[in-house]
Amino acid sequence: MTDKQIVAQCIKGDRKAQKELYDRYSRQMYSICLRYCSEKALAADAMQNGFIRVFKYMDKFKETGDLGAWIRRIIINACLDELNKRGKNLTVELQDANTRILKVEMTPVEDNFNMNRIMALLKKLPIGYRTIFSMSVFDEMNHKEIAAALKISESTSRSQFMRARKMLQEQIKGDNYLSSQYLKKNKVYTA
Amino acid sequence: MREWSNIEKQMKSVVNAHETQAPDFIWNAIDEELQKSRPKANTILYAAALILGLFISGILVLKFLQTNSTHTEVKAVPIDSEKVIQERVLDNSRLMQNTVLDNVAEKTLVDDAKMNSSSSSSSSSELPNNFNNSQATILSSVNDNLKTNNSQQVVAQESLANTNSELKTTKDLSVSNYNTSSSQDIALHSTATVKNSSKIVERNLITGLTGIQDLSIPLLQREREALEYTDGIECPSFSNSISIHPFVELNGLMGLHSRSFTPVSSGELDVEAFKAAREASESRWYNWGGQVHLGLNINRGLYVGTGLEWSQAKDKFEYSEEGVTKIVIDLDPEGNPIDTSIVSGQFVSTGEVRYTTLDLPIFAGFTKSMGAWDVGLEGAALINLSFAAHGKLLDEDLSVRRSEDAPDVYKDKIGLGLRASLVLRKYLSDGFSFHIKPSMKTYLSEINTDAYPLDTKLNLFRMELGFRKDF
Repeated sequence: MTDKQIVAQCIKGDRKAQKELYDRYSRQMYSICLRYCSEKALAADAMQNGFIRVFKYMDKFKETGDLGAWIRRIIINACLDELNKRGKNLTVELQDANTRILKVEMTPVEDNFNMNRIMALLKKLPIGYRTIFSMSVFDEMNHKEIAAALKISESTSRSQFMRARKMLQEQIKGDNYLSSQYLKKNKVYTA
Repeated sequence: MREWSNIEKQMKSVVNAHETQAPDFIWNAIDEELQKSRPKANTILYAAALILGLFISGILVLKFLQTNSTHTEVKAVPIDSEKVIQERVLDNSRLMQNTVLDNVAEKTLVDDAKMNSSSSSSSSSELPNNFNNSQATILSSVNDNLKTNNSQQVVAQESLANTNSELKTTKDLSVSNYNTSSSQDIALHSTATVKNSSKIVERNLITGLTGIQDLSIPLLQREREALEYTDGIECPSFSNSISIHPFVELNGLMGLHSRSFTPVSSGELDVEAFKAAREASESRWYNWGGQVHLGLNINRGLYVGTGLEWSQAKDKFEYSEEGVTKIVIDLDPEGNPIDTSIVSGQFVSTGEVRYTTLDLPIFAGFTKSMGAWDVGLEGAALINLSFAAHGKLLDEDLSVRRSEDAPDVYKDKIGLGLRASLVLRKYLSDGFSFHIKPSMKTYLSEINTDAYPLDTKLNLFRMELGFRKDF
């Protein structure tokens, strides 16, 4: 079944077509959700809400467009919504955090990038930097689109992106993420 | 070191080529949600079908009412022929008397006209003044003529006797025909008398003739129906013109709303403090929406209808907390924290809250023309089809959360409502009008769930602007 046929069937509410569309794009989209969201539960929620939106607004999809790109954009928006929605869940009151011991897996330096290393590098960026960097570099969104999606100004998007890029450059250059200096500065204790 | 752009490209190719198997429970959850959402589509279809059904049944009911209220059924009863004939004779005598009077009047008028025309000093253009005098003369002379013109009364009585004898012998409706022809004979006689008179006199004579015919026709028709009565006859009906026209109306609206909180006793919770916190964090903003109405115009400015009314009320949310210190922890995909940062200062959360309603109204209105505008009132009973709240709100523990994640706070349907509007309508062209309706809408039930410690009702005040097309 082609994408066009699947779309037509999904608009009619055909459950089999919906499942087929999900199977076709779920792996790619879940990867995106994991990239944007910090935890699997959040990624799963974003994935779920994103695909529900995909099926709900399937009749808005223009046949001339790229279905994958359209779904990708919806999934990204779902991820951003989840991050906004769950923002308070990522914060811990100071008194509760004093005794937290953080487990960090040290990754050896590699000459070439692989997904694990990229993910590790990205996750060391503050969430705002990481999101804007992902949207700009991996999802090819321009700053106008990023600004609209994140409800920030274009200049903020540009400056955040430049800072994210600089921070990544430093990390890659020294391959020094989670260095003792960093951990000390941030009062993080490794097990 | 490699060029940074190459690094980004390499990262991008790795990231975009990477795929991760999604856990099965995600699809199960999606499938469950899709199953839940299907009845919602059906609800919309049911609502559309209900509107259509109401519209069609409204037309049928009104057609039925129109038939009943505007048809005068003639109840046929057996008639005593002798009585009818006697009545007929009496009517004919009256008819003859009138005819004689008219004839006398006409004759006097003709004589007067002749007198005027024979006067060498009067031209035809002066006739109207003289004619007024003639009319006065006629009026004053009618009674005298009635009393003194014995010969003409005799003629009328003879005609009456003839009619009577014919009715008695034939008991046939040809009596009426005879009588009609008698009247016409008299009229023809009158016409012959005034043939040579002026045009003004002729015009007056024609009016006199019309009077005679108008007098005779309804009488004859009623009698014919009575005399021709047989069992099983289908009675004729007479219809007054009641015009019922459908219309379509589109409105846009904007206004303000109110939403006060009423504390409900709820265990150990300090409801008053909670109420104060919610009131402080939420401020009323505005509401807007749109309406589609279908209806029927009934006579005399009365109309009824139904449709769909969508509206959204917006509140501003702002909550701040002084002296807050928090650690923000970033987690990896496994849920392990990998990054932390400490934030101290004032916690401020802002946003907007949207209350969206979809209602099915059943409305009736009345307008009356007042100069260039039609002014009236409209009232509606509303059935709420759906209600949804989106945006931030304060929890009972004064933490900020989103309404859509709080199904225990707001209902998804708020039952019945009422709407009252003042209607100002201006017709722009035939059947097309513009209107302004200052209106108020209120819901009879609270928008919160029963278990929630604060009761709140939604009242909307707005200005509806729209167009109506009458068909």
